[in-house]
Amino acid sequence: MTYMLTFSVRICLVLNQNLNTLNSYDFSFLIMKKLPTKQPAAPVPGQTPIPQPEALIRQLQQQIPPAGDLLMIGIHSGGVIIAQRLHKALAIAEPLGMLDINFYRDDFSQVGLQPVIRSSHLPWDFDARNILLVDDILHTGRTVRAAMNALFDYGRPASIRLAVLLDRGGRELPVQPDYLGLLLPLQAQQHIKLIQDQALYFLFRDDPPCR
Amino acid sequence: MPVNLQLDEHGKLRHLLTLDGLDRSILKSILDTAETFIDVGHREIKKVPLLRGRTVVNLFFEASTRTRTTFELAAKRLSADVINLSPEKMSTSKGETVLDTVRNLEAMHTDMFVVRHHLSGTAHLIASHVPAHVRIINAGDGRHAHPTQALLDMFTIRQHKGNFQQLKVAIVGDILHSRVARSQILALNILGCPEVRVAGPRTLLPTHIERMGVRVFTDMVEALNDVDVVIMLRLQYERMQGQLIPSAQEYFSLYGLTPGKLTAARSDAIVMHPGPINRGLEIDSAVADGKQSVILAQVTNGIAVRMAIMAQLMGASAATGTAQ
Repeated sequence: MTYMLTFSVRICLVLNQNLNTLNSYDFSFLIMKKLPTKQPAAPVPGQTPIPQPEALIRQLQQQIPPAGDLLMIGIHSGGVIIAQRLHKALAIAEPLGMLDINFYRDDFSQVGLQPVIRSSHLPWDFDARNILLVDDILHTGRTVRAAMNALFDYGRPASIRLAVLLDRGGRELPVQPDYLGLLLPLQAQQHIKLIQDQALYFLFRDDPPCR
Repeated sequence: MPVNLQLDEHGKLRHLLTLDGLDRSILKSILDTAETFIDVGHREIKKVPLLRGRTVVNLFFEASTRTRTTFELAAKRLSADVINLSPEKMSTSKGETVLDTVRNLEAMHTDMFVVRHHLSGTAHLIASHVPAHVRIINAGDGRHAHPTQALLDMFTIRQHKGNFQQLKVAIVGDILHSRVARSQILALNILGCPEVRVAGPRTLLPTHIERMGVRVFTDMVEALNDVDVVIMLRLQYERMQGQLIPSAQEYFSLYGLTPGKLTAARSDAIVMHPGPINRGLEIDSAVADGKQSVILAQVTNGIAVRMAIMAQLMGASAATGTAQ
C-alpha cells in the first residue's frame, strides 16, 4: 500500500509541477500533505505534460560518477541517442559503443526478424572493464536481458551498470536501473517512445482498452 | 510450379527456391541483414542464438564442399543443430525416392532443408510437399538456379561497388551449364544493374539467353570492355555431353581470364568466381590471386548471406505461427 502511495505522489509531482529530480530528493514527508483525494495512476494525454528528454538527460548525467576508464554502450536505437549525449557531456575518453540486440531477442519465435537491424560497434576489448549500458526507456526488462546476453558473446566485463532515461514500469524480469532520469509508471495500453527529428521528444499514445 | 510457392500470404519469403519473381525489396532486405551478420564472424564467440533448438538438414544429393560447409557454418553460427547428408550416406542409393527421404527426415522433427540435386526442380518438388512450418533452401538444382550463390555474389558486388545503378557486369564461360549464371542474371536485373553481358563459345551459350535481358558476346575482350565486374564460371566438364570445346588449351587462349585480357575492363574492376576454380583453364593464377580478385571474399560473405537467408525464412515461419 505504501508502495502505491509513493508512486502516485511521485507521479503527481512530476506531472503537475514538472519536477524531474525525483532521485535527488526524499518525498516521503510529502505523502500526507500532498496526496490529493483522487489522482490518475498515469498521465492522460492532453491534460498532463509529457517529460522533456533533454531535462532528463541532464538529470541522468548528474548521477553518473566520473570514472576515467568507463566504457559506455548505447542500445540501438533510442539508447544510442541518449548515450551520444551523455558520452559528450561526461567527456568520456573511450569511444562510444553501440549494441544491436535483435539477434538476442526472446520474441524471434513469435515475430521473426526485425525489419531494421543495425551493426553492433564495440571498438574495444572489454574483458575486466566496467561497462555502463544506456537505454532510453525501460519497460519489461527484456531488452536489457538481451543486451547482457549479447555482451557476454563479446567478452567478460568486470561489471555492467544500467542507465535509463525513463522507467515506465511493467517489469517482467528482475532488472532495475542503477541511474534513472525519471520514473513514470504507465499502464499496459499506454505507450511512450523517444523520437529524434529536429528536436528530441517523447511521443505518447494511449490506446483505448480492448473490448 | 507456381513461383509464389516461396512466398507466404503476407508476401514474406517462406522458401528460397529461385530469385525469379522476387522483388527488389526482398533481395535488399537479405543483403542488409547479411551486413549485420558479417560482424558475428569477427567476434571471439561467432554465434548468435536466433535458431537455437532448430534443426537444419543439409541434403546434398550432389557433391559440394564450399556451399555445404558455408551452409553448415551459417546454421551453426545461428545456434541451430545441423545434420549433413551426402549422396553416399542416403538411402536414395538403396532405391528410396527423394520425397520419402525428406518425409523420414521430417518425421525426426527437422525444421529446414538445404537441398542440392542434379535435377532441376528438386527443391520446388520438396517445397510443395513439406508441412507448412518446414523451410526449404535451394542450394543448386541442375542447370536451373542457385539463388544463395547469386545473393552472396550481389553482396560482394555491393560491398565493393556500393550499388548496382551504374554497373556493367560481364559473366564469362560455361553459361550453358551454369545455374549460378542464371541466378546472377536474375539478381542483377532485379537490383537494377543496367548492363549485364554474357560471353562464351557458342556451344556454351544457351539459345535465347538474350531473352533474360543480357547482351551476348562471343569475343571475350569485347565483352570485358569497360566493365566494373568480371564473373568467371567454371567449365562444367561433368555435365558436358559431347564435344563442346575443342581443347582445354584452346578454351583458355580464347576465354581464360589473363592479366592481359583483364586490362580491357575498368582498372578498378573486381574479378569473381563461384568456385571451385580451375587454374589455367578459365582463369590465370596471376588473376585469381591478384589484387582485383575478390574470390575469397565471396566465400567469407557466403556465410553471412546464408545466415541472413536462414534467419529470415525461419523468422517468417515463426511469425506466421505455423510451427506445430
